[in-house]
Amino acid sequence: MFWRRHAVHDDDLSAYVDGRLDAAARGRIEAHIESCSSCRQTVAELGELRSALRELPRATAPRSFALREADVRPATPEPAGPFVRAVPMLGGLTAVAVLAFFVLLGFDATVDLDEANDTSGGAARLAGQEESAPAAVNSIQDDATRDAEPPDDANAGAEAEPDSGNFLNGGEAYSTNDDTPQPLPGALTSGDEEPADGEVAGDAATDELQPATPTTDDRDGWPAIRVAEAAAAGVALAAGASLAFVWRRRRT
Amino acid sequence: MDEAELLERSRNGDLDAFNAIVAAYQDRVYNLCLRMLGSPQAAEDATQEAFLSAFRNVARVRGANPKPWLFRIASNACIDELRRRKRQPQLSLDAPARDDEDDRPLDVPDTEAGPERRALQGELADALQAELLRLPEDQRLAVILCDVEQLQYEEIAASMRCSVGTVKSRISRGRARLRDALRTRPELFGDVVRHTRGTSEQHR
Repeated sequence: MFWRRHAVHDDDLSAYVDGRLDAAARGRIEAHIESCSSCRQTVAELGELRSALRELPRATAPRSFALREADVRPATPEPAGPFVRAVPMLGGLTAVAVLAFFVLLGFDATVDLDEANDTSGGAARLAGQEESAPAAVNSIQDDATRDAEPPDDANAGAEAEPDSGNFLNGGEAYSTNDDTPQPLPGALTSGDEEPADGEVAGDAATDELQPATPTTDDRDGWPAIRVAEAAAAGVALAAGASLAFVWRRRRT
Repeated sequence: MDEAELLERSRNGDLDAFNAIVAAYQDRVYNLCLRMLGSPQAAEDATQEAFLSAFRNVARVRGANPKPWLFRIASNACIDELRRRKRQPQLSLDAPARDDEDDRPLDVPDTEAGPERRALQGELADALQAELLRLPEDQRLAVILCDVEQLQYEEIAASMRCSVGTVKSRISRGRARLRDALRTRPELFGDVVRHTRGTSEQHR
């Protein structure tokens, strides 16, 4: 009924009669109706109908519709309803929540950057310590190797004395060659090892196996910030959704 | 005092300022209600209700032009009345426009027309009014606002709270229905239109 087997829609013909088409569309319609008698007839009828409706007698009000005080008491117009009053409040709440979210996000990102810097410095220290640790372990292994091969003089006594006291055989760690307890040659003692580059002697034995970790002080604020971010985002979403609902419901 | 100032004073509770707006628009609002409802009594009630509602809600009006807002309120009052009628089936929407009191066709005299034109216009007016009442409410309102009240598409869109495209479609569909209905009475439609064209050309 409304679609024709043409490239022209009835809505366009109606708008053409009202003078609502742009120049290009108007040219298209006029070119079409020159060759299409059906559309030409439709345009003529629409024009006639439009004129007939415009020519309908216009009624005048049978009486005055002016309002009286008694009709509108209280005299002052009704205040805006709750939906209208809620609009600025919800709008402000949404704006504040969004701003708070981005401020917290920026602060969180700043803390992450600081942590990254601290972590990279600690990684450098950790790398240095790890280099010294293999060196220390190697020295221990060398010592163990040396210890596994006791000196010749010790070997001569080992055959006659199976319990030579060599620590690798389960004996005491000190040589039993003399009465004075002496550490075995090459045994690791405090201060004997030369410190690795960049490393301070004295604490290498303990530091090498304990990589530096970030202090826990910086971690304390993270959960609080994330919770605050989530709360701000939640408030912004809820306030924004409420604002959209109230905006559609407000009366004008 | 211009309409913008009257509107502003009305927002502040000035009843006299609002009644000045009523005086300026009551004919148009009543005419809209009459064409929508087809009954003078119903149109009078709807017009009164429309202006009461307008004053109660004037604080919410945006802008300085009261016309789209008043037509929207009047349209809503008419829609409310039509829905009330649907709930009361003793009033048929398909019946020709009748005066409730003396059961005569809707009589809106055109004091400027000659006798012959008045007769033809009377018949065509009745036919057009009857066919308007058969249109769906949204198409009826769009056609009346466009062709009877001669509002622009944008004003109609503001009054009906829809897009311009929707207005264009509703006007087109309403006109198509009217045209199809009047095609069955070519003697009435064609004769009056030829006469209308001639009269219009004389007035120019």
